Amino acid sequence: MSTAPDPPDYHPHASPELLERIANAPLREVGDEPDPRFTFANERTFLAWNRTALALIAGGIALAEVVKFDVHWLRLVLGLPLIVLGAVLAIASLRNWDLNERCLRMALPLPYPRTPRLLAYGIGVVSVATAIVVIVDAIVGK
Amino acid sequence: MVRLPPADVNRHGPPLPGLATERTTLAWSRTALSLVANGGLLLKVAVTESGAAAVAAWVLAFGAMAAGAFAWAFGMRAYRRVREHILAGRPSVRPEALRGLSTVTILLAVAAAVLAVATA
Repeated sequence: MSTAPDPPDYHPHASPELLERIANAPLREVGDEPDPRFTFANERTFLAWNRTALALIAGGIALAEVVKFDVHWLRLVLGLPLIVLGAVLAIASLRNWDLNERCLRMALPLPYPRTPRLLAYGIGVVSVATAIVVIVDAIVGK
Repeated sequence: MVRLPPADVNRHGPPLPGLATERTTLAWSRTALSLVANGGLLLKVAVTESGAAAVAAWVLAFGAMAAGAFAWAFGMRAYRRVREHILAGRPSVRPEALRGLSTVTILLAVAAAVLAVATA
C-alpha cells in the first residue's frame, strides 16, 4: 500500500468562508501590513510574470506580422495563440499578486499558482504547432 | 579592529529595506525594456504596412514605448520614495501601479491581436 502523505490543501489553515472574506474585502483593510520585503518580493513576482506576458505578446506579434509563410494565414495560427496566452497571463498574474498580498497580510500560506502549468502547456502546444506549420508550409506552399 | 554591524539587521525597529528596493527597481526597468521591445517590433510593422494598419501600428508602437518610459521612471522614483516609507514604517504596497501595468499589457495584447487579424 502506498503511504505517501496527502498533498497539502489549498489553504491548510483557512476555511473557505474566511478565504472568501479575505478575497472580497478592500486590500488595505485585510489583516496587517506585512514585512515590506514580502510586499516587494510579491511585486517582483508579478513583474516577472508580466514580462513573460510581454515576451509572449512580442513573440506573437513577430510571428503574426514579421515572419513570412507561403501560406500567409498560417502566421495567424501561430501568432494569435501567443498573444492570447500573453493576455491571459497578464490577467492571471494580477489576480495572483492580489491573492498573495492578502494572504501575506493574514500570515496565511500562499496559494498554489496555476500559471506555471498554463505557461508550460501553452509553450508546449505552440512549439508543436510551429513545427507542424513549418512542415505544412514547406509542402503546400511552393 | 572595527566591526561594522550588518547593514540589513535591525532587531528593534521596523524591517530595513536592504536590497529589496533595488531589486524591485531593476525588475521595473526590465519590464520597461520589454515594453520598449514590443514598441520596436511594432515600429517594424508600422514601416512595412500601409494605410490604416500602418497608422494603428505607429500609435501602438509609440504607446508601448511611452508606457515603457513611464514604467522606468516609476521604478526609479519609487526606489527612493518607498525606502523612506519603509524606514518610517508606512505601507509600501502599490496596487494602482500594478493594475496600470496589467491594463497596458492587456490592451497591447488585444490591439496586437486585432492588428494581426486585420493585416492577415
